[in-house]
Amino acid sequence: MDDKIIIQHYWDRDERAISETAEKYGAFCSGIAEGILNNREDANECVNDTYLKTWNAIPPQKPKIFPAFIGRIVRNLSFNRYMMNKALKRGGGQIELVLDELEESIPDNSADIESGEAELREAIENFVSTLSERNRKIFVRRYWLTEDVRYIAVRMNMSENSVSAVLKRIRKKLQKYLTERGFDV
Amino acid sequence: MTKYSLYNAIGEINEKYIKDVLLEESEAHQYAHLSESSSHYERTIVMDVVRKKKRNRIFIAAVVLIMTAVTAAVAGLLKKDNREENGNENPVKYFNSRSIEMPEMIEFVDNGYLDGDDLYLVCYYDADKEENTFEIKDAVTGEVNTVRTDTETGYIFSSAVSEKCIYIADRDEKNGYCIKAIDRNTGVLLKKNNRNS
Repeated sequence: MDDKIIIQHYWDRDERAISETAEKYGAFCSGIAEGILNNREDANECVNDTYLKTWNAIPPQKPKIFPAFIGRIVRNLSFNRYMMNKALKRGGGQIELVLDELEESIPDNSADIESGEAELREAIENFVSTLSERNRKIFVRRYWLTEDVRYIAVRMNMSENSVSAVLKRIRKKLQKYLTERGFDV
Repeated sequence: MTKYSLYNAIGEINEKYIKDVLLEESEAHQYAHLSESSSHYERTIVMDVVRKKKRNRIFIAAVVLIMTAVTAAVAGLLKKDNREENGNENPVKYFNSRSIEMPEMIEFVDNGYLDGDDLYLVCYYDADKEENTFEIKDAVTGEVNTVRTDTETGYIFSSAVSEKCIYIADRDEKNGYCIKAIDRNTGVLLKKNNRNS
């Protein structure tokens, strides 16, 4: 079903919106949640919460790219759940690896820039725009969708080693990029 | 800055940057009996299969194209030669490997003479290309021609033409791979060399 129709169902407060979202994007959402949580039950809960949150968000919102919209919701919910699990010392999935990798991109001696989150978001967005299409896809798959390297390799028609090498170069580039923009002050 | 804030910041990048990936994924999900419980690993396996199927379809299409092109090209060549040398048209049907009558069967030899003392055949497996490669050397002139077949299907990958013959690697329904040496001038099958696959 076309996303526009699904979104219209949300606007009409028609409960088919949820079942159609689940049918079309359930696997997609589960993939993200499981990648982060490595736990099917937790992932299912996050996916269900995603449907509820989407129901509450539309209207007033009218997403242009619906899967990106719900993808972001499930990503955030799953990440919050991960942080909660972490506090309870329950293991995470791909996210542990992803976070460790991202740590490499943090400039040395960087201060706490919680107050500059907007600047960081803008810097990341600008950085992503500098990447080639292929590298951008790999970056998004790994650090936005939290996909494992093996899956990325299959989808990108590359070897796992090549994907890892590309990711490493991107992280190095990101670190340099952030350093140059004063995020190490 | 922490890895968590960095991860969160990445989550906020513009949706246009993830649109392409999501489009690709929507294609993947069409295949995936990717039920809601599918893990990345399971999806990887599914996608492996999908990719192989796609590759096979492309491969079959390519083989059909190559076979058509080779047949047309060599048939044209036969016609031309025949017209030039004999003044009449050579029956193209002789070249059609599927309709050639087999006058003679000889045992396949990986390395050995294919056609009396004139043609020496060397066969080797190219692991990179996953192809059987046959080199046919004319012992008199030293001319070497190479013919390749796909090891899985046995379909023609290429044909070769020498002054005397046209060589075609082909699949014989009963006997596996074969190399056919066809007289360029007459279109008559001179030798067919078999091996059980």
